[in-house]
Amino acid sequence: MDMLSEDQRDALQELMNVAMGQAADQLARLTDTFVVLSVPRIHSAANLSEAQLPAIMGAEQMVDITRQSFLGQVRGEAFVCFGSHGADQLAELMGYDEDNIQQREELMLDVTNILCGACINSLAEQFELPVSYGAPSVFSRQAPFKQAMNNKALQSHQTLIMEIRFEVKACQFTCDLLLCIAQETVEHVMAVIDRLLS
Amino acid sequence: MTSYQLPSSGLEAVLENINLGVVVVDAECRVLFWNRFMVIHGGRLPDEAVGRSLFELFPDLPERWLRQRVRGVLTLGNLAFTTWQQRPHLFPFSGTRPITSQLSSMYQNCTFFPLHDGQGEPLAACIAVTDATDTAARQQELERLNDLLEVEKEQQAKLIRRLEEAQAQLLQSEKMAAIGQLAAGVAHEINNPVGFVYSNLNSLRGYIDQLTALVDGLQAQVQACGNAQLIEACEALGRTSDYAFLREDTPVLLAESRDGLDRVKRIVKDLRDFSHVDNGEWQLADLHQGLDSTLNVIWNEVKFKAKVIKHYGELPPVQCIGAQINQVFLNLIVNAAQAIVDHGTITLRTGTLDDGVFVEVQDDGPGVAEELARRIFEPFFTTKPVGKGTGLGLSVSYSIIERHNGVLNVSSPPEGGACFRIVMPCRQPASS
Repeated sequence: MDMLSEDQRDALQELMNVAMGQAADQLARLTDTFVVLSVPRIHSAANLSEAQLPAIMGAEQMVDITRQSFLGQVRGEAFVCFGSHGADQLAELMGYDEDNIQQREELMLDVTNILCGACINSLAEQFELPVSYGAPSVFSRQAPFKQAMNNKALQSHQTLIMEIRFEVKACQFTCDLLLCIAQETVEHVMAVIDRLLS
Repeated sequence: MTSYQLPSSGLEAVLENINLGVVVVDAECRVLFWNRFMVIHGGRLPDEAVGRSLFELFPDLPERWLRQRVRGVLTLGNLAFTTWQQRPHLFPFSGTRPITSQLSSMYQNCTFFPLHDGQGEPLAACIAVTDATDTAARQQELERLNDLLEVEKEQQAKLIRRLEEAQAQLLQSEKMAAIGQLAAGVAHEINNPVGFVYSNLNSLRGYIDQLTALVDGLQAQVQACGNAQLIEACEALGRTSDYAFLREDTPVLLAESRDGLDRVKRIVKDLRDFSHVDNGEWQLADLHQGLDSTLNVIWNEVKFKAKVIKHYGELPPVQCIGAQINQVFLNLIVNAAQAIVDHGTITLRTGTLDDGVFVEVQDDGPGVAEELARRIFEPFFTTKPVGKGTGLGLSVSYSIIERHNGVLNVSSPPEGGACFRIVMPCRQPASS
């Protein structure tokens, strides 16, 4: 079941594209490197484990997953999926000592926070809705994405999911970002879209 | 409705007295504001802190990391976080439970957020420090308990596994005991009648021989007397009772009956052995001698089916009940011979292994299917046609080896053939 009409989907896609452009620009300024945020793909699904997921998340590959809440009239959680090296390639950029393994998790959480902050702030700006954040935390360690999702009792209501790939070419780093907007606040997004469409 | 607005001095008082560390720094990490919490835990008055760099005030702060963090907050206009799990002690503050906790430093959660000027441009970053020592202490206690529980759980799982094994063994031994009792009873009940039938049959054969001799003698006398009438009458009698056939067939019937009884006796003996009716003596025996004498006994059954190859190693004397071990050898070798379809080879291998010895009997027959290999040592399980095997040979062997604290198993490689392997200790443990 799709909660978006084709027009709504197009409009949302447009908003997202603009937002990601801004977010990429901000991230580039912060890290002084060229970063790429993919054109977001939008899904709506009854729950995360049923959503059509990007290749890395569908595979059996072991990943670390972090999550962060965003709060306000648009509420939801963002997931960032890190490959086997976590965010190690970004250590230098983020001001970490590369050889300090103990800080790996903090580094991942840091990247999560900055990535979600940039993307969601830009989105919130497009939606003209204020947003705040909870602290990021580790969701699951070293498990395939599907298994990690299935192991946790997730709310199984309709969710609007946006999938974005983040890439820092200079560091050969990529990770996947899932923005999941909770059903009860999707209407606020819809209202903005409908206002734009009218 | 009236609205009450705090004077800005009141708001400042809130900021000053709130139970959070509040530090405002500019883009260069110089302190702009420093509240009471920071005075108490940081040990410096606002006058001493304001205007100075954070890294001057706290030389141990990770400078590069913190600068990048502040820069991120100001560039993105975004929040940033540190949590007590990953970075427990950003600021070097003392623990807040000095009496009831071992934690000597304060665990902190910090939130960084930008402060904007009138035009919405980020001017400064505020760091709010929360004391998470309580949470950390509780969490660490929980983790400790959790670890303990995990250990206990593992131990319980181990115990449960052992209980299950013990139960399975108990069931198995109960089953064996019940079968043993039944077998002993049946053996006893059959043994008596079979005994007197056997001896009667022997007597009967003697009587029949005598009767035959009597009739033959009478016939000869009649022939010799030359009385044609008497001879004729005698021959008529012989024809009526078909004496020639009786004379020929009776010994055959008797021999067959005797064979049948021999088979019954063998089964009874197997049953008795199986139920440990006969307890032999423990002695030190030469297993090679046992193998050879067993081979001699059954040579007639083996010689047309198989060539026997011996690969004997060096064996020390082994403490065992010789008669029983020989019975095992007999069962295994006869079994191997029967497994061979036309003509094949039986290989006997012996050797030492740690503190024990092994004996292998290998055939080159079709081998044992995996699903049969599991049942092959069960009593009364046989793959031979009805009347050919009792299904007791291997189970008896198994229990005998078990009583010798050894192991009997079978392996059957995919390319065919079966290898029965006995492994047993040279000396029995003291308890047995």
